[in-house]
Amino acid sequence: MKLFSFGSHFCYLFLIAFNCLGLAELSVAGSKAVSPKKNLETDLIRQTDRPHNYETPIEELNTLYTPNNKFFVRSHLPNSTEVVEKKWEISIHGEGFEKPFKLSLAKLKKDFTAVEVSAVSMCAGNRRSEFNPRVPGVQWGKGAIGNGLWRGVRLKEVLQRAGINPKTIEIAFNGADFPTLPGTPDFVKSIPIERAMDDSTLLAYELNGAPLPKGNGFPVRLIVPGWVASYWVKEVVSIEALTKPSDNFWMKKAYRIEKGKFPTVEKGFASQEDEKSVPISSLLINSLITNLKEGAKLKSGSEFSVQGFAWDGGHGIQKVEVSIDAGKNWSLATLGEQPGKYSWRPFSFKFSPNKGSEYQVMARATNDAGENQPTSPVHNPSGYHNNAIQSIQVVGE
Amino acid sequence: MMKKMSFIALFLVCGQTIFLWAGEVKNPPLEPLLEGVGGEKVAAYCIICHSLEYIKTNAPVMNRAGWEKTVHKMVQSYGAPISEGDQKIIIDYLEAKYSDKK
Repeated sequence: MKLFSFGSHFCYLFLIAFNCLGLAELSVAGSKAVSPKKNLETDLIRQTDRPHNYETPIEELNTLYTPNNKFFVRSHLPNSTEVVEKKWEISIHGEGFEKPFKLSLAKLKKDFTAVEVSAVSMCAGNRRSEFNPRVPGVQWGKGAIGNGLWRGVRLKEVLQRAGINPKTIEIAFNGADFPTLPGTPDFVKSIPIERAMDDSTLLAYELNGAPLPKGNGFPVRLIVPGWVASYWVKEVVSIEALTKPSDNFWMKKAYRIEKGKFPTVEKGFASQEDEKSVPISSLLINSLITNLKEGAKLKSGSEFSVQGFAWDGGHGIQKVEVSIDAGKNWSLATLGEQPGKYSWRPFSFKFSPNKGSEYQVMARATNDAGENQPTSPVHNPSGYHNNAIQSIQVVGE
Repeated sequence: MMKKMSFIALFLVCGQTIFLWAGEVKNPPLEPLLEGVGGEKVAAYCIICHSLEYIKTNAPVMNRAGWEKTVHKMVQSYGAPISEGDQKIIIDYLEAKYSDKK
């Protein structure tokens, strides 16, 4: 359907004008939804512009699925190749495969069954700026997170086509991004074979019904639901089966936590454990209030509904409690539907603010394994896994 | 029919645009580094791989030891081609201009 190729000159002029501003996408292919063109500088809060690190404003996290153009962007390396979909090819190779092959984007979509999974994508360093004492790294606020409906194919089906050798212990992923200096390690992440074979692990090409935005992995990215997003390698060009643990910098040196700090999420990745540390893997039980900012003035005389989301690494959300008096009293929040165990789950709690009264609003989630959120972040040198209970001061007026 | 559809198209495009403007984020402009001895070297080397914002945003958690660790990490882990002499100049500058003074 050529929606925009006819009609008044006005319409055409409008489109040209908007396209120049980068606000509208002209190409409408069939009935397929098109992501609004993402403009990092006006859609998201900049942390660093090179490499691209941009977070989502809190008010844009107030929907079950985070809009594509508002989905946070985290990059490790400053360069990438231009994506030409027709020429895109993923090399499936390595010692652990019997029949290595190359897979085009068209073949990926045609040869394998399309499946969907709802899943939270969260940077391990989300809310790093709240640590006290503060820690170095990108000083993320609350917005290095989003919930998406990811569509793609099961990784295990692609791996099976290559014939998996029983000695395979990890699958390593590399994207089209690349470093500037020869001495900078390329960003390569691996996952254990067991996680690679899990039904929920996808090679995804769509987010919320539209192609992945540039910055979120276009044209194809790895989705590891329940695990931190550092594993969700973007712009995948290489899938390698390893028979020995990866010794890449990004596995051995970065994204690791001291043993004993986060006991509930220590056991996911045995082949990468060393004496003192383990790689980060599963998300911790966590929650986010998405419709209140510090110092907000709430109208008295009517009910206000505190809203937000709770999530974890896949156990499921058992309950969310809300306090409006700095944690002295807690009440059960109403839970909404959770579209799958890797999605975040909406919660809401109503109260009637009084004029002039101050409220310290907090939310704490408990998962089906009985784990809940700590009152302050568990301090660690890289500032990962901040799942502390939020506390937001508001006033009735 | 066609005319009706172009009106719909116009409406959709305008509607979307208004929405985008309403939710627009205002990021502060990128700032140059503070002036000081060694500032040119910092700008020249660091920008090979990343923007200079990292320096400002990390300043509140940094002191001389922190900057030494960071500069050494850039050289040893990320392959930054900085001589020992230049490393010292860079660390001196960062300590003087971008450290927590508390």
